[in-house]
Amino acid sequence: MSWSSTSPRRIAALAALAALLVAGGCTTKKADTANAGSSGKLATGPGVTDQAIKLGVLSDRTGPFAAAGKGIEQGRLLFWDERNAQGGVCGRKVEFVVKDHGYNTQNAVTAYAQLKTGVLALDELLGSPVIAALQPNVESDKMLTLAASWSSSLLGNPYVVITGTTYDVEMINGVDWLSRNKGLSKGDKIGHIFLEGDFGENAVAGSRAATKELGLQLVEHKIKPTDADLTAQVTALRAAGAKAVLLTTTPPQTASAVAVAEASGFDATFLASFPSFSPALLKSPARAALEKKLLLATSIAPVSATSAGPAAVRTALAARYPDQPKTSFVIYGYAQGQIMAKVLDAACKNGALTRDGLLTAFQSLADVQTDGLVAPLNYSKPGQIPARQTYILRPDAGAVGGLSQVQDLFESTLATSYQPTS
Amino acid sequence: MSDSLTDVVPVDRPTGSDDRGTDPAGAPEPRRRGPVRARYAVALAGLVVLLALPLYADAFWLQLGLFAFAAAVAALGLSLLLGQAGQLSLGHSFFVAVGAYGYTALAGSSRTVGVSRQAGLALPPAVAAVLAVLLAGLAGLLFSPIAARLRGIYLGIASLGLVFVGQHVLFNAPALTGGFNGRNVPDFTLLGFRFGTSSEETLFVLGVPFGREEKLWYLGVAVTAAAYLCYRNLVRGRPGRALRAVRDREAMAAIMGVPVSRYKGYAFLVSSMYAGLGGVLLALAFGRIVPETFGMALAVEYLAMVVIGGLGSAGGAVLGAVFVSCLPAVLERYAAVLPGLAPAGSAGVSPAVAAKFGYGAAVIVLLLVEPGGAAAAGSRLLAAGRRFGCRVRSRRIPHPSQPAR
Repeated sequence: MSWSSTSPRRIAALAALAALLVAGGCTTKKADTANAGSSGKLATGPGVTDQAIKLGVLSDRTGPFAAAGKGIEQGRLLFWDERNAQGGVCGRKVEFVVKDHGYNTQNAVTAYAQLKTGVLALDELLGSPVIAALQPNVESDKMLTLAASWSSSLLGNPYVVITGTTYDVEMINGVDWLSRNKGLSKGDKIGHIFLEGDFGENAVAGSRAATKELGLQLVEHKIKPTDADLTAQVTALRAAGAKAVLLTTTPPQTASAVAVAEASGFDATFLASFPSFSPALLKSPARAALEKKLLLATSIAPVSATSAGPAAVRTALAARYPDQPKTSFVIYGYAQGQIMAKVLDAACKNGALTRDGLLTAFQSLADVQTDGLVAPLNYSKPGQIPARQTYILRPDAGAVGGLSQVQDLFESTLATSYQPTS
Repeated sequence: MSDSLTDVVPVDRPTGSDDRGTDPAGAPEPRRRGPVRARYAVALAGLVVLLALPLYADAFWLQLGLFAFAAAVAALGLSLLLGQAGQLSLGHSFFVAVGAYGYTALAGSSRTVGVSRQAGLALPPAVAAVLAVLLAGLAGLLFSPIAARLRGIYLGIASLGLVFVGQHVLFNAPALTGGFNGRNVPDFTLLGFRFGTSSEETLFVLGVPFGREEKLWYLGVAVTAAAYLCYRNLVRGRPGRALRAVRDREAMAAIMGVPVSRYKGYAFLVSSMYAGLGGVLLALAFGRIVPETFGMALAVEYLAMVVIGGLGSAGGAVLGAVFVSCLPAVLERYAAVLPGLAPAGSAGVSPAVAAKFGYGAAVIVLLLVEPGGAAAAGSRLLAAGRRFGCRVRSRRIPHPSQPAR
């Protein structure tokens, strides 16, 4: 059973044939200049044709933030389906190439490599580690990216778009509001339980700045995402005599902290960062405690808000997805659509639907109004926080989306003068 | 308990076709010439395809390939440890992280990012890569006294501790690792040639612009091929036999003069150096490394690679690495063509979820149909090909001594 039919000569012949094919330039991958063309007066970049503008979406459909990713997608579809029906942008329909990374950086980098040559910009990039991993790529590819994160550490990258206030400013406005409305005086103690990592560190930078300015004392407790029970931290804060507690935690941890405080008769007010609350918590046993004790500081309007923007989204959402949970992420996704539409409009007006043209257009947006979906945004100063106004909300099982408004958009004097240290 | 792992790792299982010829139990010597030549032909054809691929494939496939090369090198290390030496390690991602961050810190330059300062020695990348591999080896050596005292699932759990320690250090040593936000990986350079994309000049090969992915692809091919050949030489020689003796029965190995605990230490040393080399490739493939990448999930993935590939086999480790690191992304890419999936935004099974189901099903089906893993499937295919070749030949040149099958 020897295999002498594969003689050395035959192998050599096969190899030579293969080499010939390769060297003969039978490649299908020549330098592609057709993509970056121009039609008429308009210069166009990757993903732009005469009929369509393609944008990339790199989101989580199968990982821990699948629910958030789905909410944002609903918001995006509500906005763009209507906009495309009205003729789109620049005479072109806006289309999306959607990829799932399942909160895995390797999948995200691969999916990005697939997306990058075929899309003009990234309309959504979700997941903090994914955003961190892709930052250099986004910069070298000049890819304008709407990141679903509110960390000040992203401000250094000119291509990353933050929709709303950053975590530190949320906390500054929150502490300011607590000091005015919950009767805090100089020397009083405030606790802050926060997650290790970017999210928590960024929020605690804000609470440190605010408490220093207001003459309050900050008691910090750093926790890990895997900590399920916050009894130790809440008990310690109660023993320290904290008048209020800030939470930059995961939603289950928020529920744990508030439930523990309620059970032990700790009467401090709890104020959480935006991602620390999820409407799903209102179906848990902690519901009564949450409704009684918890507040949220965020620049994104609740679905139940009365202003024109959220009301319109609420109606459209109920008509199109009647049985789906109605989260603030829908509002956020819709607002992202409005911002991207404004960027594309401006780029079209400048005659440059290219990557460079998009950045120029983006940085020309000094006042983006979204009918109250998110705080007014100013993108004209690169490296600066785009918005400094926040709502104060409270959990409310009776309201659509589980949140109702306590305080309309406001900006504390502290927030106005605050500069992030990084 | 002491034998539980040898139960998991069958003693006389067919470990691909790699041990054959040198193992006493392998095929007899006179029959080697034919299959070897056939295998050379297959290997040569595969190499030509690999070398030509960057001229045709787009960035998605090349990026996927880079991850597969990195995974293959690291999986070879785990295959040596688990399949040859019989030591279960759930901490492989820790050693991969040591290689990845070691390279990044050694080759990177000191700079200030925001408020935090990142330390770096700015060594030549090739030197940094070698040192990173040695560093991973050192980490393995430090762990080997523990490995020599524990066995089976106990060793697995102990090595799992490494992953948790590693995660904590990676998150809390921003000067070295960049903390949560990670750190940019410096481009690899060798003799002045830069494996990266530079804005000033673009390298064209046969009219195809060669960027970072294309250049790194060739580095990946070279490193993986070298790692593969090293593995085979190691396994076929005296050290390989000694490791298998330790795996199968420690007392027997000791009686035959194999220093058992020293060989267990060697296995951990070499395995973690492979992991470190895989880590360097992985860092280069990423371009920026973040701590969350090197967690539990990655450790389990490496374990899946060597089990799916077929324990102990070099080819199996590579096949398993390709299977585990490529299949999810490939399924995700083509899942949208499946009929009957939910449209975007609504309830139901989306293409991404369908891809995940498909991946899970593929793993189960492969292990059910071919418990020996991809390596066993591969050698079965090769045997079938050989039979086919025989049939063709025997039809053309009838030979009385070799009846056609």
